[in-house]
Amino acid sequence: MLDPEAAPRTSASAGLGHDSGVSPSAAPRRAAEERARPVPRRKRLSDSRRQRPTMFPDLETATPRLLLRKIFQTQPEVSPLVPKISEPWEPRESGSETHSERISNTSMKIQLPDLVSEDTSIITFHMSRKKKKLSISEFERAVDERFPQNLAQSMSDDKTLTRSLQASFATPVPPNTVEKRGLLRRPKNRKTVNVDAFEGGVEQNLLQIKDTENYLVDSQALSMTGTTVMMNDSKITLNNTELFIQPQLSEKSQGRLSALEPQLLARNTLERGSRAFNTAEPEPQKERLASNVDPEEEMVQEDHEESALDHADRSGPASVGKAWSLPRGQQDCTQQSSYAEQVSEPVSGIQKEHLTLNVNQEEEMVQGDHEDSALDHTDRSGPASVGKARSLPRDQQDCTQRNSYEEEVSGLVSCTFHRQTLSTPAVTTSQGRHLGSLSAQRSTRTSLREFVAHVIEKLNYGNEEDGMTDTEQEMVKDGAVKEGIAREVTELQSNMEYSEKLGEKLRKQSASHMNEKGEARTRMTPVEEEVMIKDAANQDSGKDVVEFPESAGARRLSRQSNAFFTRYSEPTRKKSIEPVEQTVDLDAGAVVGDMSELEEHKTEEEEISEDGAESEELSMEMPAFVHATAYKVSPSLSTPRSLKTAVPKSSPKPPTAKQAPKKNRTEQRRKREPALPSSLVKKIFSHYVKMPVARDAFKVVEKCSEQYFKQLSNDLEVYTKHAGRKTVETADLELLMRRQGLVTDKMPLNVLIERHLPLEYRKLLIPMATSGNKVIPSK
Amino acid sequence: MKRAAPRSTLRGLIKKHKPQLRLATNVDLLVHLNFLLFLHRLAEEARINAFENKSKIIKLEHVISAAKISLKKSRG
Repeated sequence: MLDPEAAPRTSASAGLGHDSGVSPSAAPRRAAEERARPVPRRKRLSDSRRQRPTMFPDLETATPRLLLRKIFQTQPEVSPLVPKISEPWEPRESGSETHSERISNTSMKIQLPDLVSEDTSIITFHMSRKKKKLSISEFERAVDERFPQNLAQSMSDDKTLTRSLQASFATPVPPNTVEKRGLLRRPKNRKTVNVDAFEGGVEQNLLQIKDTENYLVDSQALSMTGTTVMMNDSKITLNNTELFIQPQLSEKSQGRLSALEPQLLARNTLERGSRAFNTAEPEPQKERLASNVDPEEEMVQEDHEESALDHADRSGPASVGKAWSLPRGQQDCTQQSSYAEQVSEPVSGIQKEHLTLNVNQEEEMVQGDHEDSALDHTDRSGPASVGKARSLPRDQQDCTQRNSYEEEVSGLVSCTFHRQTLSTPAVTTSQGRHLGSLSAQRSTRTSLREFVAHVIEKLNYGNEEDGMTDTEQEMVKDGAVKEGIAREVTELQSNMEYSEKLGEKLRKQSASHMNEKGEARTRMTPVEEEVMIKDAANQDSGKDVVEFPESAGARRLSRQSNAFFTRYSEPTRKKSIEPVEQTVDLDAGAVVGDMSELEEHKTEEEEISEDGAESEELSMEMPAFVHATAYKVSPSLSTPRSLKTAVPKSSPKPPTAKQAPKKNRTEQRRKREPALPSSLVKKIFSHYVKMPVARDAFKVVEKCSEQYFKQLSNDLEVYTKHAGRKTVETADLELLMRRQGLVTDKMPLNVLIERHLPLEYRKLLIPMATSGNKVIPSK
Repeated sequence: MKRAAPRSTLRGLIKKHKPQLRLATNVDLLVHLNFLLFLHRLAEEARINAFENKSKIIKLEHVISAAKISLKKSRG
């Protein structure tokens, strides 16, 4: 103890500066590690060092004087690295213990702020007003501490501690110490926080100040870091620290403040630009983004890292505010790209941001480097952004410098506002373009149509259906189809009959012959299909052909010749004025369709799936022909849509019944969904109701039971899925019954089983034990 | 009296609605039980409705209103 006492005395007498200076250097490193250790360890360490008396042993003595001495001596030991429970600064000065703790806290806090910088940025801001000096000094300390790493930190801590101690003790702080006295008194930990927090606070201050005073316009100030600006606005005391800090900022900010700096830079530019920036701030986020974007625009030439942008995009609105405020304070132009990122972030954050982002991105990256990343976000706004980009670039070019900032801001804002407008026209234009492409295809279709018609004719000849071919040919040659859509329909109907026969004949006749033709058509159809698929509107025959196969396929699935027929009729109806050729083709197609329809039916009959390649092909092709004519006119209708609409309409159509009715019916019956035998249902119901039941009521009961089974299967699926299984188990059933209220605590499932199910079932469900140690059912 | 539960039909019915769903061994018996209970509930409701109308025969409207209630109850 003597040594420690002596040491403090000597140190106290010598003054903090010297002894503390020495010890701190050595102590911090070790203290950092040993801080948490109990006092005795320190003693040992201190013994080795000799110079540093451990304060803690003195604490035991607990005389205030000794404690104070120890504080002085132990200051260096306290290392910022050693985390300790931080206590509020204010109560520190209450006692020596608090001092020591404060020291530790300070060091801790210096570190802590790093973690919490962002959160406390705002808080820092509020505090900054009162604690500007402190914050700056703290910042400085933090700077020293952080970047130089532990040593530096420890060093700073020591300094801080010493300073704080000095301040607390009202001893004049040596001028060499960077921090100010006032700062010392304040809780250092709080403000030493991170640079980010500090900067954020500074920015905020700047923002506020700017709004009021507009210093920011000063280019010099802008060039300086945000703190500089603050300087102008804030008190003089900050000046010194700011000067110090600035270089540090520049050094470190890049690493950490990169995001902030660019923002600051942007802010600077913004500020320079005009008050508009200031005005923009209070404006809605949108404008903020606009302003952010403007700086970006200004920095178009700057490098924009895709990653940065992506990051920015992801950061979202959260960073918007921060970025906004931060840039104010800091005006480092070192990292424009990062700024761009941040700007893009807020941009993306906001809904419309995508557009701005796109715009920004486009602006920034003429090469479109960012577009890849940014466009991902703005895929949908692609066309819109394009439009915007066009408008924005204008601004960009103008706004390379602050002068144009205002323009940019306004332009950007207008762009953002006009985004939608731009997007819509862009979209419409795109759509128009799409339609145009479709129309282009029409022309190709005509050629296809002709080809198809030719094939049909060949087919007709091949089928030896002279009558049919004649009619078909006539139809094909008919040029007045436009007006005769109705006529076509009737013709189609008649053709249907013919086509039925034709279809049958076709099938029976050389299949290979048809196959050949079908193949030829299929060749066409696949290609057409592809084309069709791409085209939303089928104007050309080619498309029709493609559509037809699709529709044909759909028909097959539905197995409704009626649908097929209606499809043809539908298109014809839908068709508007069409060129003669088209109508002719339609007729031909209709005929073909009929034939194919019949074939379809046949195929359905023969094979559910499309085993009959020939028939498929044929039907596909034929429908294609029909569609070629039918769909030409319906640009608005997409193939699937038209088909679908046609299908439902067709079903109720009576004419369909004419075609292969028997086969369809049987097929339909076969395909009919399994349903409980109505007799069973009747029996059960009447048994339960114990009263005569009207016949109509039974129908309702049947419908009801169907609905019930639907619900049941849904519920079971849900339950099974919930249990992570794919098989329905008895537990699922029991759960269902419980939820239905059939099974309760009073009414267990087994009772229900016994009541309602016959014995044999009961035996299956409920294991019964019989004599001889037998269990039924045996497991 | 009671008839045998159409097990295969029940399984087919569920398969139709949910083809990917499998059924355990005696699950369809429980399904049948559930169905019976459902019909039972339906019948009870219909009977009550008919009683309220002082009718001796179960009429359509009785059943319809009963069906609405029963289906709601059996939703689970």
